[in-house]
Amino acid sequence: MNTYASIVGIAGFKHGAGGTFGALMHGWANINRGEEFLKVLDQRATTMGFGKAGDWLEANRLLRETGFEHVAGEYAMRDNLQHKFIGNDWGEFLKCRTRVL
Amino acid sequence: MQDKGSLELEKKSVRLGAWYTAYREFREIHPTGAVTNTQRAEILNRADLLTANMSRASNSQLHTGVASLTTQFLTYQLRTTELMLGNRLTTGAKLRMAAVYAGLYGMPGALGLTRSSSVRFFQRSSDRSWLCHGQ
Repeated sequence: MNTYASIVGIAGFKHGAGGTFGALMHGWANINRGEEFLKVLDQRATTMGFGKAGDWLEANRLLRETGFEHVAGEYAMRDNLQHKFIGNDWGEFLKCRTRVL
Repeated sequence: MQDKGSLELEKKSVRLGAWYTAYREFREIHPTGAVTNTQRAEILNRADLLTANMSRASNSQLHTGVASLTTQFLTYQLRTTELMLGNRLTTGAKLRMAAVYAGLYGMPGALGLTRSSSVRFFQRSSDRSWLCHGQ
């Protein structure tokens, strides 16, 4: 609930509502991955404000390519991490438990 | 064990909502055209932001070092604080987020007061008023 509140808060209700319905359609797509059924889900999503026809299908395909939907055991290939944002002695103290002796 | 304790269902649901919302935002700006790898990474980054960066990739020194013992159950609060104090969100988005939280949980929740402490505060206040009336 908190996190959905964050989504709507950050992105606004217009996008948040469409995105939430898109997520519901994604759950239904896990029941049946048939092409015809996916097209029906895309039509439903379009009717409920998820962009134009074909958008939901594309979003569904891209999501499966990224693997963002998989929880636990995933990894992130990011090259913009700033893990040491406290650089003084206080920072050394904070990470003391993680240091391998 | 770590995987079992991650509340998979709830986290997955939120990630799905964040992804489709991020895609909707992207298509609002780019209505047509194929999505390139760079754009897909941008959507992914935005989706991660919409989930309040609640993944291990965003662990900071406050979650991994000696402070992890005390902050292990404060992850969401810390990430939300980082969002509100950082510059990744626009001022409008921050205000909108505070407004949504205020509507759902009341002003103490929106201002960052934990529910338990605010409840205790009001309980104490009411107890005192009851004592005053009793006298």
